[in-house]
Amino acid sequence: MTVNDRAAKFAGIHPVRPFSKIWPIFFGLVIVGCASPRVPTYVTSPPPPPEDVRAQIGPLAITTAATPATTEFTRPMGKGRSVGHGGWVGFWTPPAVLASGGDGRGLILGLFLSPVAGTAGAIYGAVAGMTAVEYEQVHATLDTTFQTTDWTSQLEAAVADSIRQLTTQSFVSSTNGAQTTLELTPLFIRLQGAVEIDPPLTFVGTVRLRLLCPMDQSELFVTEFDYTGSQYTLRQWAEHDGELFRKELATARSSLSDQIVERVFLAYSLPESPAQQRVLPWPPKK
Amino acid sequence: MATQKIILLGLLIGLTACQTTRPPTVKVIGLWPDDPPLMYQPFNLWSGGDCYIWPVLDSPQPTLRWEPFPRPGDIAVDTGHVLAQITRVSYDLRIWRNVDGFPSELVYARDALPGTAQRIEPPLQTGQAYFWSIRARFTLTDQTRVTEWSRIESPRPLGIPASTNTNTYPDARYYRFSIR
Repeated sequence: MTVNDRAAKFAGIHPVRPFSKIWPIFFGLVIVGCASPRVPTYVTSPPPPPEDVRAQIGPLAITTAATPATTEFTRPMGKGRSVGHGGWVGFWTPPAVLASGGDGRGLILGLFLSPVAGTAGAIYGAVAGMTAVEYEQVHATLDTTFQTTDWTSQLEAAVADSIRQLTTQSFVSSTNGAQTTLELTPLFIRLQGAVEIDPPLTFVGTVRLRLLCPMDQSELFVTEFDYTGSQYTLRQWAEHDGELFRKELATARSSLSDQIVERVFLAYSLPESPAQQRVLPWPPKK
Repeated sequence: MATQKIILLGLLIGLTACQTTRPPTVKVIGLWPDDPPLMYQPFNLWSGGDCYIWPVLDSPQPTLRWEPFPRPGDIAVDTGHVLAQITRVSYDLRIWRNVDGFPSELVYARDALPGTAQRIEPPLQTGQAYFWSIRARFTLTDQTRVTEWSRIESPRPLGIPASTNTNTYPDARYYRFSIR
């Protein structure tokens, strides 16, 4: 085992070997549509405001924009299209995989298996495809979940809590006495992914933040934050009255509020420094 | 024919030797990790490489060390003399469990550590890889400020797309180690 292999093993990343690609592709195609939760969740943050902008921030009022966030849920393939797609992928997978080594016998064997795999794929498409009626029901469930959660107000409260916990910034209850207004606008809540047969969809939430001077509504600072969360199929997101969706909304609110406050009030970008670059010893000292 | 083979083999060995003897230059954002150190294997025709090595630690309660803030290099480029005004420097430390090459589960968080070393308690899980990051916390004109979470800037770790230049939290470019 080389040093590289050991590093990759510990990283959970395996070195690329051409033949090792075949079987994951095959199994990936066989289980296409069978989504499993994806672990990484993270917040993408913009650069912090410059110190001269921060110097203008006085007693603060937090507001939210009147327009509600847009919800967008990627629509999976319908039943008819899923049957065709499943049959097509199932039919061509065996010859494509078995002939990929350049073996003519593999191609012949693959073509023999094609009708069986194609039928299996079509049956899978028929079972897993989503009808228009089901999509409307799922969409309505998720929309209702989002509206009843009152996510925008809860985000406003969470940001206010984070400011109290993480900073010494002073507050005012209304914009009347405020020197600065922090305006939060949830722009999108998306469940996004490829248009496939019952594909895994990733939760993405986008929030715009503006720092305003209430006297003339001039913008001191404007930026956007994205939360990228878990991944489930649309059916899984909507199960049990949108339980997973509701939990993810809560996680997104918490992660976004902390990151918004850290970036806007605390983060300090150091100037580019030669100290950031070093020549490492090679071979490394153990 | 034999001469051609010998020449080719010689070229190959020479090329490999050149590559392996060249020490890697690594750039980070934020504070440098002193211990466990950053270890990077340059590309090598025989064993591959071009990747970061996860230092293997024996103790499940390792002591992590990092460079102090501000660094002399920071002060040298600080033309506005902003860093000369900072007071009450401390450090925030985070450790995440590695899941599929990403810092997925936050397992350790401490804020306002006074020194540049910290022994990890309670013990971490053995046979597990971790990401870690450090940042400085300080006071500037009576306001709390923090530096960016330290992370590898270049060469980019395996699996990070070249287009990823945004600041994310957490980030797969954080420092790494594993417990034996």
